[in-house]
Amino acid sequence: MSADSKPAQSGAPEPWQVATRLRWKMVSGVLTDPISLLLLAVGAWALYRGAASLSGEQTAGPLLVSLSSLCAALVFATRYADRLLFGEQDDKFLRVQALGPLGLYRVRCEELSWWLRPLVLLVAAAGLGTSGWFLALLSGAGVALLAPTGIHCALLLRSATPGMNRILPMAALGLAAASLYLWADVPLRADKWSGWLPLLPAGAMLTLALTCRSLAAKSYRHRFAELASKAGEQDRHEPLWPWRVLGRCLPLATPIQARLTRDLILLWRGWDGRGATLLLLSPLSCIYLSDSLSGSMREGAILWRVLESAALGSAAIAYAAGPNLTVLRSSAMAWSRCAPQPGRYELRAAVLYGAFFALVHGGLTLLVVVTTQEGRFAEHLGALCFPVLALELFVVHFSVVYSMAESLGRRIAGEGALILALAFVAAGLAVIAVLYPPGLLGYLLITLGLAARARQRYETLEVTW
Amino acid sequence: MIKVSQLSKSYGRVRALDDVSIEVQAGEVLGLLGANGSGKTTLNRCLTTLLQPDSGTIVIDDVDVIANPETARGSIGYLAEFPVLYPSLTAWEFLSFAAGLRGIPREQADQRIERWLQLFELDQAKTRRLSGFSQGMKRKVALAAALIDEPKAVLLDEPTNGLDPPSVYLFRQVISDLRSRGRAVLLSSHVLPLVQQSCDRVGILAGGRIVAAGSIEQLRVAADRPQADLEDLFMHFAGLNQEMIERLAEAGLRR
Repeated sequence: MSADSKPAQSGAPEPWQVATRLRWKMVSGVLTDPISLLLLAVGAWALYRGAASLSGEQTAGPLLVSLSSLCAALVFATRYADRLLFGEQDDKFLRVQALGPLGLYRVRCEELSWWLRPLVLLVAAAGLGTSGWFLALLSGAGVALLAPTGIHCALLLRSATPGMNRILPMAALGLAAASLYLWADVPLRADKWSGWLPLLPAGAMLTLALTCRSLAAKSYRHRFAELASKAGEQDRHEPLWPWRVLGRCLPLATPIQARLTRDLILLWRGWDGRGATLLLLSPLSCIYLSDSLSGSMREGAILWRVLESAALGSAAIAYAAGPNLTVLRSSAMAWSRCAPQPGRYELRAAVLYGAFFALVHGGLTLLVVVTTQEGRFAEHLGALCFPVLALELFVVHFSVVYSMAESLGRRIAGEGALILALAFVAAGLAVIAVLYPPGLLGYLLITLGLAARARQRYETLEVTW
Repeated sequence: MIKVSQLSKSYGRVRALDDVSIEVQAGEVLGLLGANGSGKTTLNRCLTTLLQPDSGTIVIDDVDVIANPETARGSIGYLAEFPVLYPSLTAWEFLSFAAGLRGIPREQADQRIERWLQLFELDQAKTRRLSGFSQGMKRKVALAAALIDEPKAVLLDEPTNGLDPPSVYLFRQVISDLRSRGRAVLLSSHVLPLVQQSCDRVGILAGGRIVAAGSIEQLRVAADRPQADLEDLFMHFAGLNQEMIERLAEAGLRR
């Protein structure tokens, strides 16, 4: 029994342990969600491939990949610790319980370590792609022990730089990403120590994590009460212009414009973490494309490889715009369901949302084709434009329509079926694009019935929440 | 304006609404009283097309809601008992969203939003995220969103939950204004003084059935209790009096 909490009856768990178990019941549902696990596996694979492609021999790549991935983990731990300490819904409930002076710290530390578990896998995958198992294990261990460090950093940032606690971690992350982009190819002098360089950041992270284990508790004791009180006084205002500007930039029917503006603003403000992750992961397919194009390829093989990359990226976008958006929107569905023509406008707004990101991704894919190997494949651009953009748009369209028609109101089963259907549709579209590109237009005819079913499903679903 | 005839709705084996018939005229406020689980929210959801009834008819502004939900939705404003707002949006953004859903042109929407925000004393907080709003402030935003399109039929489900006395007074004035502008208002509430002060007629819902409907005077006559207040009448018609006395006696709280 600890000295800082109420004495527990013999054999009974201490109050903070009860609170921790309660939190685990909430968090485990998210962490063990089959879709999240699938996304994690895909993310780990993409990071492994991306890290491998950026880690050229005798270059700064391996060091910078290791540094950037660990920097990203530290930023995540700091930002998430800040949210757990100052922004959780149950914060006020837990703070008035007799958990003891360090009770809440323990609860949040445990919780942060659970949220770091997926990150352990992602950072280890990047480490594996960079320089093998040893770096993977060292980086993974550093991240697994990062919870107290995250809390310590969050408290330090809040007290040392009031108002900047959000910007500074993001600036550090931007700096790491920029250095990776700019200097990954810079050659390093070949000597016997160069192979050990990527281990330095991982070793430093592990040392920091071990050092912060005791510092974080002290920091919490000294700073938390005052900072929490200040956080409660803060009034968060947002400017009016984003809504007005988006409204003017989107020349659409008002009901579609309102839905689209809402979705974009909510995405920007971090309300849709999973969607944002998927959208950020989607350009990784371009790394795959630039790696896999080779001069000896025939035209058909080039087209196939480009379509493969477009399908991978657009599948991530499709997921963000399809089931993900459907689930997010459903919490406040009553508002749009009571408005005129909800099915039609909801469907169009979601398709346009996905289409915007799909077109950006399609443009990036074509840009990679033009710039890879000093423009060697640029001559194929004319033949690639239509199939690539059509594939991107149709994959997103299918995901949105299918999600509304089939997975609205039955999340996991619907999402599982979508993954299979999406793979089938993407492959089918790619085959048609290779064999007879104009045939892609037939997709729109085939899915007319599905789109009508999606609208009807949205308008007739019984909203009991 | 609102006419419900022989409406029934079941959730599996539970009969939430059983042959319910009510009518609200234009310029009239009908109070709907009922214990928890009596079917008030289910009735509201059927009226707003969020639920499909098993049988019966609903006509709002001469439009059959079940046959033509599209047309009917344009005439209905609905404040849910627990309205879900996007916590990351500001009050102004949420109201712009609500106005946009109804296709209100931007300039007109801006004017209406400013008017509602001023009325509810939220103009200083309009750029604050809704996550920082109190329960009462959220309720005001939700009411403004429900009324932004100036609907002909207004359905209010427990509108004064979490409101302080000045806000309740303000809400009463809003309801009175809706009546004077010829709107049909269906007000479901547990707050008996609010119903007594705001409503022209009262319907009492118990076990999914309308057990009594009429003005308070008519209910007194029907109950044969000339001096009874609304609480007595509600307990009488909902059959709660005897049941409650027995429960209290069982719990040792009443001899």
